[in-house]
Amino acid sequence: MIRFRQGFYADVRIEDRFSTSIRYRNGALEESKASSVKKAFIRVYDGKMWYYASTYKLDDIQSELEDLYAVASPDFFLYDEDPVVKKFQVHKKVMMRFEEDSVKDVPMEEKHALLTSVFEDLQSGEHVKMTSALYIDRYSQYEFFSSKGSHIKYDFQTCGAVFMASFGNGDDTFDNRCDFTATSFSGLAVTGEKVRAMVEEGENFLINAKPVTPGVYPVILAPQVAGVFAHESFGHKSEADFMIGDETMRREWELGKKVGADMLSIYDSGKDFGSGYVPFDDEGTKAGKVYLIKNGVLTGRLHSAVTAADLGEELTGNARAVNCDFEPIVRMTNTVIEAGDKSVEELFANISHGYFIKTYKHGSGLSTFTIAPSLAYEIVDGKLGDPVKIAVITGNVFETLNLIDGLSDEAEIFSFVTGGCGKGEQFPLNVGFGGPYVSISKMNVS
Amino acid sequence: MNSEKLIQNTISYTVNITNNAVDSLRKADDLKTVIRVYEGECVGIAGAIGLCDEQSLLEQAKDNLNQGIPYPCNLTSGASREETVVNNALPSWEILQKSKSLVSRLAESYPDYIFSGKIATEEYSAEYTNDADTRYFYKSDDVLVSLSIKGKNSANIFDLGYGDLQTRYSEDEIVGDVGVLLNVYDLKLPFPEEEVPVLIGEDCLTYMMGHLTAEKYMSGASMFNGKLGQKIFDERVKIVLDRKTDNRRNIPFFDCEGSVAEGDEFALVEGGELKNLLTYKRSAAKYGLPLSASASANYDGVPAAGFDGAKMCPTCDSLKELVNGRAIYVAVTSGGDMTPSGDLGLPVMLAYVYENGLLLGTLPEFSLSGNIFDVLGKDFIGVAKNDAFSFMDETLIVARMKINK
Repeated sequence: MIRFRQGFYADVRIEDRFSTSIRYRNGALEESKASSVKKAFIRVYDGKMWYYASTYKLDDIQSELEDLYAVASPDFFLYDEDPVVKKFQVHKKVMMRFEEDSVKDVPMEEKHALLTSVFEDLQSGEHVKMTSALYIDRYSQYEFFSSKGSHIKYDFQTCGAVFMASFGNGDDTFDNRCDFTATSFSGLAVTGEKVRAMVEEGENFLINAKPVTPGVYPVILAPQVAGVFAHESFGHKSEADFMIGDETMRREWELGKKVGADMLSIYDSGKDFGSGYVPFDDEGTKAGKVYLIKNGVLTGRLHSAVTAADLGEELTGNARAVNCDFEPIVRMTNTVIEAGDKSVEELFANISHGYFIKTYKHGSGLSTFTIAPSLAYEIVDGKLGDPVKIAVITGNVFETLNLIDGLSDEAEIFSFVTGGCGKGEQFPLNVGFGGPYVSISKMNVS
Repeated sequence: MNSEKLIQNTISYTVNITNNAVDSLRKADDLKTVIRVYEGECVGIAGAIGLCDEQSLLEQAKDNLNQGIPYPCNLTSGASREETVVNNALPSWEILQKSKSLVSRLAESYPDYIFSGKIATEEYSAEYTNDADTRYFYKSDDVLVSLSIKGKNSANIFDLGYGDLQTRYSEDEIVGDVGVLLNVYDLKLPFPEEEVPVLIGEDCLTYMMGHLTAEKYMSGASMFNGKLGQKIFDERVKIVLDRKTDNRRNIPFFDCEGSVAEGDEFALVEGGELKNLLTYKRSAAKYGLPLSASASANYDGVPAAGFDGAKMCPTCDSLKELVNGRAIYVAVTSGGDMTPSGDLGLPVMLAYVYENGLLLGTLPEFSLSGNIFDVLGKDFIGVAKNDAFSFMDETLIVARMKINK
């Protein structure tokens, strides 16, 4: 039982994280481990400053809390007057969605078998020089207490397999991969056909990919790449912590401003299952669905209690920490471009010469966003052409949002077990993203 | 059966700065222990976060031998070395007051800008022991300054960054360095008409490192395929893994499996020749290669090839020796990457015109392209420390690259 003192706001977040990691290289086992880590993060707020402690000493949470109280200054009007404290929601809720189907209960042998069952397919290519197969899972139980009276318990689960092949042909090399992700082990649909298709496409790329002439071209992004584009180009700019006390940003990011093409709508939702499922954020706010852009107009942004209080807006459930080593900051959950009304074929038919970006290695975004493609193809007269080697595609964020000229009629949302979102010192945070096929009339390709 | 143990402890105090105000202080205590046991050419590993019963951890590691993970037992025997570096650069009890003082001075000195970021002081220790009578111990402390800077009238999330991990703390030097960047920030210059060299950081090394692991190279899937022992870059290019205590921050002289490079330095490229690959005990044994002494692992993971301490060695004492006239200093890039053929694409968000140790003004956004074999080959000019800054210790590659305006 945690004893909170008057004159301060405080909360305690505890995560009990189970994870599995299995790795094979060239069919030989390199790693096989199951780990459990339990840590706590404690926050005290006195109306002027936040004081934090991260600890593995779960028996000493009360004394850690007392240490933080000792350096803070009590304010006995805090609960009546402080806008941040007023914002915090109070919930008493248990929401265990994955306990009955936990990856903790799946024998290690079955996790190994998931990988080894497709080794033949993974090593099927003539030019395959090295292969890797990963299985990763995580089951976390969270418990949250606050001095306003919240007591929440919920869980999160993800699992997945990743198959990677490195190809070589003389001086030419290429890496390709395919991912399978689910929220339960039984939901993982690993198939040899998909792995073999990945190998075949990688070999085709290795043999036939040609360099591009750097320039400005029309580009079509596949749904996964559209997702990373949404995340990098606009999602980070919707995180309201950069607006605190900044009048210029408040003017620039005034809700109702036109920021993109009419057809463009982007939302963020922690309610959807997958990598970005966050039923309660790390300061106890219930998950929401927020439209960041609706029909090209800025309609919302992502908040913690501090930013919502500062801007006089509602909480959105986006205060997240990567684990109990860190304090929650404003982060995305599942960020998605909504589908449009064209078929994929119609999008391609409009392009006489451009590029199709099928998969990516990484992305980043400030005023300029950058995506490093992995598999990319030329588009010639509306048809998919040869594979091409592209280092990066880039553009100014707002110019590019206005250059979107077509969206396909179906959106896909993607989850991941490797990588994640980075912001400042906190990486990798589990997020999801997605969208439809997105056509952009001009983008820098190099 | 043989065993080894690694205990790592990090105690940190971190101050957060938001919009010219210190708004939080965080204390973190992180203790990690791993025990690895070796038997029958296999390894069993058990790790713990926090205080643990080492006997029970040892028993878990023995149980984990049944996972059947092949790994050679090649323990370093009879070695002993201890290095304790006490910098006491920014004591934990001073960090709050000194951070407030720095922020206040920055806000007063540069009133047209908003400062956010982190200031952290960290004490790190690592102890490696094994039952072949080897004990290594390393302890140090340092200061991290990481600032994001934004113009008050700017609509960007941030316009430029500044910071470094250092063994000392100097408010005067930090304020001075920030001035080097901001005093000419609003002076917008055209691109020099003459062909000028580009000054870029060592980030491009990161793109290459995955291709230098022994497994990747020996499989034939590396961009350096077949080039071990051959000249791949200009003869002045030297790339090393530097674990010398004087040069590196928070990197012990030993790696996570107790390997130590001779002289605490391991050359990957020397005289432009690809000399060595990144290895750890398993890959070194498998391929008969020298140990790069750079194995890394999660606290309870199997070691793999890492590249802590990777750096390019300066080719001269001063940047002025390399730049005769003006150059373009790349301050902020947005991502960037390299194709398997070595073609680089670097979108540049902020660049300055550099001349004779001074930054003269800023340039419009552009992108850089070039091939890594040319950038470090026929277009390579040299490597030197950036002489524009005092607190920030930055190494720059000087090369000719294509500027796409």
